[in-house]
Amino acid sequence: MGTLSKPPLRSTLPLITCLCLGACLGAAWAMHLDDEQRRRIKKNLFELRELPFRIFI
Amino acid sequence: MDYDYDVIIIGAGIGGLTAASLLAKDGLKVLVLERLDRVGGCCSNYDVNGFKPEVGAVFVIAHEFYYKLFELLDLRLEDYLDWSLIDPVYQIYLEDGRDVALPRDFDAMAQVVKEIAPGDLDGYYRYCKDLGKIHKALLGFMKHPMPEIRKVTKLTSLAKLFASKEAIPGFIPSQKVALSNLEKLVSKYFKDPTLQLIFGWENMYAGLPAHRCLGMFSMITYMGHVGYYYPKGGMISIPKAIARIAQDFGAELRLEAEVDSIIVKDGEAKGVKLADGEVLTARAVISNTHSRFTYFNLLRDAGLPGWVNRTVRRQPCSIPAPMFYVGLSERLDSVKAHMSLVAQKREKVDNVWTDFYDRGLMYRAADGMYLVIDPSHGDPDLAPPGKQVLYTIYIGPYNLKYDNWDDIADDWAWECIDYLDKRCYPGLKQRVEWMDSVPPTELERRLNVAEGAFFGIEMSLPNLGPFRLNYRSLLIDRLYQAGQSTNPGVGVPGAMISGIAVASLLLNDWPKKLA
Repeated sequence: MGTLSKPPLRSTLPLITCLCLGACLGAAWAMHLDDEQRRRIKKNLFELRELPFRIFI
Repeated sequence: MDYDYDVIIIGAGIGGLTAASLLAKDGLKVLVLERLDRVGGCCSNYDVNGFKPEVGAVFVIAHEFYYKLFELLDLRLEDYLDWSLIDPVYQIYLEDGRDVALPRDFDAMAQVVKEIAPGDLDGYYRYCKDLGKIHKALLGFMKHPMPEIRKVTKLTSLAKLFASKEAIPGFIPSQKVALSNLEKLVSKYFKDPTLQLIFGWENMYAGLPAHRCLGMFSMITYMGHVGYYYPKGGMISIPKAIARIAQDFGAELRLEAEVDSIIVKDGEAKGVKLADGEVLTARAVISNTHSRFTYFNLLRDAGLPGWVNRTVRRQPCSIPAPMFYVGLSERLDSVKAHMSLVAQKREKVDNVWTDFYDRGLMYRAADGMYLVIDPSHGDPDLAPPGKQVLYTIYIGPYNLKYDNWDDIADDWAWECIDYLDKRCYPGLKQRVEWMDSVPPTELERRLNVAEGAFFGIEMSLPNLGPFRLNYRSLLIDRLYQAGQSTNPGVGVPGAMISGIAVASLLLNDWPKKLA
């Protein structure tokens, strides 16, 4: 009976680094948005969530 | 089961009447039910002591579509409608005190552009060239005869109808327009803020800030120079003409017949129940009302899943246009055109939109932008002899942060009249014989349009195409939907196209599902 081998840390490290870097960059970008831009992005995200439902109405 | 009618249409607006005329022409037994005592919905007018202001739609744009409808009906438009060209297209009152007439003729308009900002003349010619190509591509269908009504919604027929040599040069500019918002598009052609305002304020007709409005709306400005028309007798002449045609083909029209609900059994629309309790059955039902009215009122007992109402409620309406009508005891010579725009500086206008859109703030009369329409300019019969009727559209939010519309409507209207009197129409206030203020709340009560937004569901990208109300309901069999809440959306031609599409789909479904 075989055992599950642990994924080597070396292969997941670049992925984790990329994710962390992306999150940091995203946070830095979001910090610089003014109120107006934040409102627009919020609205667009809200609209995006609604799209799949609208198709059936 | 015996049915009273083949098709019952709720709402005698343009979409409903168009569908009624086409279905009746095909031999179906059609009944149109209208809550009000007149036809037209948002394309109508009403009469108070001889003053007949418009309710919503104010001019005929894309008149080619009207000819195509009459072609489908095998009739001649000239036998039913008499309209005249609007020229100048607009009179614009600028912030700095100047007032500029925008002539219909392209070369005369170039002269106006040259006087305002000579450096933008090249931009104007580029603008005319690009939008002219799109216009020609759109008009390709005028060359081809219309297919029979059943084939109108077939993709192959549509492709044949719109295929023309002109469509090829129109492709690249149309992508430029489609992929941009109005704000960005206009600034590509014009650097001068005054010209940006003159060529980029038509987002008002979408009820959207320019940054959320599709670049395609710039075609409205362009088409003003191709030709806006105004029918004799006012905009109500259009629905009246289509209603007459529908009745001549055998359709029945009942005015002052309010529908209480759509009867749904086993997932199928079976007819309607009227407010007086009368039940009428039909093989199919077409709802030509606002999506929120259809789902929250007419289908309230249909047992639809919760997400349906939630989705309909969350679909945003355009920004409403609070209005007021005035009847003047004598004509004002300072009203120089059928339509006038009392404008503010471009930045101020943008701020107003953003504040309305996001924060529910209402600006004072002196900060807003007004569209003033004088229906009696081209047709004096729309006001008593020697008098004048004016219809003014403003932009304001439905939910005010600090006030209630019903409490402030009259005061707000008088404040606006006072401002217009001082700004561009001296003598206006003292000539007012009759005034009717129609805030969004009142318009909602009068016309059943949600949030008083007569531009309907927002015309932004996430609310167009597949994300707008379906012509054929996917939730309830035998229920069809027409009007501004469906595709393509706002405007009289938009509602007309929806009526044609619904009639075509219904006739295609007839042999398989409905007969």
